[in-house]
Amino acid sequence: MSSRSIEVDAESAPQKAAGDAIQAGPNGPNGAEPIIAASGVHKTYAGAGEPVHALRGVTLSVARGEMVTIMGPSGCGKTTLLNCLSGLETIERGEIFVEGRSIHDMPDNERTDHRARRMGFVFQFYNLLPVLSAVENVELPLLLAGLGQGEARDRSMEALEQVGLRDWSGHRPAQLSGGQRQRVTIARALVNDPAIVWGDEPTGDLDSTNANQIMELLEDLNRRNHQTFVIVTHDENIGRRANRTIHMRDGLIEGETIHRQLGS
Amino acid sequence: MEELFGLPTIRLMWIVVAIAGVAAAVIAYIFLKRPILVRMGLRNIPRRRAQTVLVTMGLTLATIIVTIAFSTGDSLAVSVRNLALNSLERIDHFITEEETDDSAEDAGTGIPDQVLLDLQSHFADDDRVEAIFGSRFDLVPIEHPEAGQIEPQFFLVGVDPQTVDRLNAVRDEDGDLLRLSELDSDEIVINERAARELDAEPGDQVRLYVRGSPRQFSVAAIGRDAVLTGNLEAGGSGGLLALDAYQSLLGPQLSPPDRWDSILFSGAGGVEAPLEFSDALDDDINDAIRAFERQHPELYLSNGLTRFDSDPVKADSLEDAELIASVFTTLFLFMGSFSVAAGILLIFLIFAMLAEERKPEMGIARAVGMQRNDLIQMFISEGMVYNMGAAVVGVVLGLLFALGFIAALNQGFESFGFVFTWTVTIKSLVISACIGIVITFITVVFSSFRASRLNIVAAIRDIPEAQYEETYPLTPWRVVRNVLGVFTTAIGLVLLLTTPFTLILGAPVALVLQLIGSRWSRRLTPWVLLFGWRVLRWNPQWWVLFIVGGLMVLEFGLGQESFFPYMTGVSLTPLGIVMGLNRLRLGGRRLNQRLLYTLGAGFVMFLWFIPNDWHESFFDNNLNGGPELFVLAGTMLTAAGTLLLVFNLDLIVGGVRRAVGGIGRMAPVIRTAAAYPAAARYRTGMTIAMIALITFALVNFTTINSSFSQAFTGNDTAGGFEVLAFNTDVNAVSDIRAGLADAGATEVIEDIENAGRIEAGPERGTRAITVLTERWDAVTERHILDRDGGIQLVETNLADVQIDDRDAVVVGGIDSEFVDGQEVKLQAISYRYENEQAVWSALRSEEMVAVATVDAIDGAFGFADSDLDPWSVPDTVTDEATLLPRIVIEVGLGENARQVEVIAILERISGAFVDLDGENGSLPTLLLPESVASQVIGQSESTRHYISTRAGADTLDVAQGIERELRIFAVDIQGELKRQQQTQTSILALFQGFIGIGLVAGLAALGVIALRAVVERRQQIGVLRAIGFQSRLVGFELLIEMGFIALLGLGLGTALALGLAWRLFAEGTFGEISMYVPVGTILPILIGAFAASLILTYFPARQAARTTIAEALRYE
Repeated sequence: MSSRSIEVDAESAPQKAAGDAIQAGPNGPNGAEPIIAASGVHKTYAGAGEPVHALRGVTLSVARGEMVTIMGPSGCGKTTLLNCLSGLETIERGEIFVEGRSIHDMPDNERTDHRARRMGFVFQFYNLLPVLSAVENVELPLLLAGLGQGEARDRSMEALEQVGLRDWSGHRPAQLSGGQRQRVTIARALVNDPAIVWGDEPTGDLDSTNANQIMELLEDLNRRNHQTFVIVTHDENIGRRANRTIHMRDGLIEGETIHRQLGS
Repeated sequence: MEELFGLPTIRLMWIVVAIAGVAAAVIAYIFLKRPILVRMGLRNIPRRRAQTVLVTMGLTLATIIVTIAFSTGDSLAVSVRNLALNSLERIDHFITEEETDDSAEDAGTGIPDQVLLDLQSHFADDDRVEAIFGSRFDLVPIEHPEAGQIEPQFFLVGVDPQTVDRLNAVRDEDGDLLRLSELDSDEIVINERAARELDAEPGDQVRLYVRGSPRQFSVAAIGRDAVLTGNLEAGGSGGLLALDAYQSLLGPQLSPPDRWDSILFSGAGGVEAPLEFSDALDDDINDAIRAFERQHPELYLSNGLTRFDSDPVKADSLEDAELIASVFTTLFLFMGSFSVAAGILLIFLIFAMLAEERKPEMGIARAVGMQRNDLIQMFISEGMVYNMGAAVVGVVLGLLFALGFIAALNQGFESFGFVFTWTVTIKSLVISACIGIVITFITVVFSSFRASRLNIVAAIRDIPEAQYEETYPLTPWRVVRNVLGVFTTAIGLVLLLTTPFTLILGAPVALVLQLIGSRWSRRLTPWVLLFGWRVLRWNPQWWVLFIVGGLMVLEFGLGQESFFPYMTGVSLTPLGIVMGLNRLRLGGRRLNQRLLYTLGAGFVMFLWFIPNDWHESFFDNNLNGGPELFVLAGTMLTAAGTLLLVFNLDLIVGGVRRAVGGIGRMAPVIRTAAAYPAAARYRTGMTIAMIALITFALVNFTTINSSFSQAFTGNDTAGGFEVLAFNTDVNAVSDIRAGLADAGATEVIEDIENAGRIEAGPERGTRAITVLTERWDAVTERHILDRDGGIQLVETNLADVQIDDRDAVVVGGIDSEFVDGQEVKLQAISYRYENEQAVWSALRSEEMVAVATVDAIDGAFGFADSDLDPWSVPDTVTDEATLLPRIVIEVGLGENARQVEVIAILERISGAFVDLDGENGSLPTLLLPESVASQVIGQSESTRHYISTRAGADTLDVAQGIERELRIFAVDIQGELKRQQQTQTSILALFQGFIGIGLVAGLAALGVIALRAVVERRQQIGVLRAIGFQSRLVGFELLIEMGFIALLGLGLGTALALGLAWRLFAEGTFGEISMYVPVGTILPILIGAFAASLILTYFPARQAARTTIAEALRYE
């Protein structure tokens, strides 16, 4: 495990460097091709009082197949960074490339389509639709992608099988435990075989046993499917399970810790 | 309007003001005692403005409905009152000749002058009477040659000019006085209607025709439409001549100089002052007449019966105005009850959703020490602010709606010459506002009680209550306590019906009443206190209430032979049983809810859809009901239908998904759109119920009305004729063709295919009696079937029948051409005749036979008073629909009496135009061969010509040609039917609009749900957007969801309405009228309602679509 500081730019100078770095091609921490490359990302929330600078020029890249955790104290901008990288939020300045496409420039509909096809999401509070059964929740992204109902159902059942919930497919979220709900969320995130899975405190609402099980599941999926995982957490134990942990403070990346090399 | 439901409106006003005052006092108490609760309640109002608007909109409904009802009532009362006062002006009492069953020598020829002299002499010194004078009137055709206009039904009046001038009784169209004594002998005053019809102005020359001879008059002035200017019925065309000119025109035969058509009394003091003593004066006039009867029976009595009577015409007209206003207000309130019910449901729904929204904060508040009563007071405070705002908005909107309704009424009644003026009294405004406030207050209080019942843990964690549902063991004491509670409620209800406001207001007001000395208060106070105590202490088990209360009202209904309580009980009891079974646990498990509610609701619907006879025969009872059942049926069927739907929503949703769920990228949208309503049964059910209730009322009302309209103004009504023409006394034409030939109108003759006639006798049937000779029981008991299947009969004796058994009919004699031209359908024919053709042949061959309108069966033929049913037939007769027993009647009196056999009954609808008493509608018509009729009625009173035209002829041209050439009144029947249809359509549209206001409740509910959905599903919307739902799909999902609920409500309401209408028509509730579904009217209503639901949902949907994903995901 090694730690190093990443060059960050509070105002302007490093933005160019970061841009150069992204354009330079495979310069991920493990020398792999970056699937996510962000440079000089700024995000400000205009509230009722003073504007809040949530991101103040973040530059980073994530390699394909890498599992990265983002950590930091509350309010440091972890979730905002994840939202911006995944295209859930727009940015004011900077650039974000996902799979080589500039997600910050895309119109909303295109960005949404991109999410539907290439991304999966796991949230802290599961955010399943309470009115649909487990399998129906899992099916949604596939139906959105235009798959037929039969095929969508088969693939959803497979996804539930992967997370060990095949027998619970007909249950509604309210009839499942917290850990089971999160497994359904993971199945939903993975069902359309996304390139990147984003997790915002995926174990935050779970006890340690369930949290471990979920992380084991995510690690396993990451290894088997070679999908990229970007996970926001403030649990050190979770952080250590990733290839790399990015540390944030006050809207800036202040450093990173490499736990294990990609592919190891 | 002075009275409603038999209660003086001023008292009604004070009652509702008192109740509203109590509501205000409650708020004032809360505000003074616990201002923090009021502030907590109120802070929510500005927070969610759109929701506040929708809530207020929903709460306005009751006020709008009541305001419309009262304002329309006021407008009608004032308009009809003004119409009556303007029309009667200085005339207060009429003396007219009674139409009696028999005649004195000179009966029916007018009132002898001696009667006028006697009355003038008797009242000469009476200060209350300003003038007593006689008048003559008759229908005289008038023509305005210059304008080419003719008016055959011109009501000409002749009065003494000096008397009328002294009374200042005739005014022109601008309200200025007209001096009749200044008229020359060739001058006439025509009324406004006549001026319009004839296109005439002062100075124009007009011709009046008496027995075909014209006399020229100059129009001296246009008089205001009034009785003295010939406007005897509203919208009637007429005019006024000085008496000499009138006598000279009509001649001594038509207008004998010593006779009057009526004697008029004018009270002292002006137009309205005589109303003060109208009743007393009327009694005095009649007393005077009774005294004259004793002194001069030969003059004043007719066959021993009163011949003359006084009619306080002005007071009666004003009473009629009040009655019309009261009837309309009641009708509007009755129709509006659906909207008020929908509004109440909306309030419940809104408060349930407000409670849901604030559940965590209420849970925390309760956890830190807030009492349940505090929550109730908080909700009441908030509700009352909405309530007050809604009352103001509701009154304003109600007045605007009423203005629109009066305009629509004016359009509908335009052809009748009525003009209604929009009016509202302060009293009505106060009543409307207060009733709205009271209804909302009561609903808010109940809703607040419900909202305050929450499980603190479930509330804090914001999880469904069901997980924390307490299980109540079914102990005997709990059951006993609830049964006692039901009885207490029943006592309370009795008190409620006896003295509504004492009960509602409770003890404080009872105390006040005691202080002011109400005789009820002393008796009621203990009960009210007891009831109040029960309500406060009693934790009601609704299923017990439904079962015990249901059985009680069912029993009450059977005892009272009344359908309303019976059906209430029949509906509530099964629902109570289902609710009770739902609480049962067998082996720790609940019974299948879907099964229970499907069976219970289905059973209630079944009970409503089976014929009434089944209920009656099951309990061996004869139940009666009125239009109030319509409201009950709507409420109960909607409740049952909604339960059926919501407990099977998942199946419906599954069906919908299978049907349309696989459409490309819409699949996930439809999936989620259908899933949400199924998951939120309470709010979905409430919204469906609101929409269904109003749709039920609209569709059922529209269908039944349109069926009537179609039946009575449809082409069948014409009976095969195209033009109907009437003779009058002064202008009679016995043969239309000959008359037209004499006038040289060959082009009109060529268009006539057939011209039959009916010679009609006195319209009050003074000479007609009917006696039944045989009835089916006689046939059944004594019939002998012969070899050919015929029935041998035994005649009965007419001698037993007393004169008192006689009943009146209007007798008409038909000629052979009428028989040839008619296409009148027969509802039933005597078994002695093979078919309809045989019946008409018998009438043509001048046998002693007759056909009668259907009313004769119960009335004139006496079946109503017997246990016999003329429509039932012996078992041996199979073709029952067309068979009548042998009915022989005696018609006419003394030497004129004839026995004839009634061989057929005319179908009501196709016989409508041959119903000779059609306008009065009280007497049946008997049609005999012309030769037989003339023996019974002597000389006919009037002749009606029934004309069929050749194919391609313009029927309006024929009617106008007859009017122009023969100066008798002629109607283009199809044109007349069309005019009636238009009037009915516009009045129907008026009521549809009124009922449709209730849809606002359903739409507002959709809006509230949609707004709430945007808030409570914010995170879910964020997730949907995150996993790939495009923003428009999110909005679209909400639109489909709300559209789905709207469709369920509209569909349920329509199905129930058509189902009930079908049952009513099928079991013959409306006689022979067939059900007609006006698809062209109903469909636009449904489409409009659906479109409105989408429009109202559009804004929340847009808001949902614009949700920022990251913010939504952060939202808690």
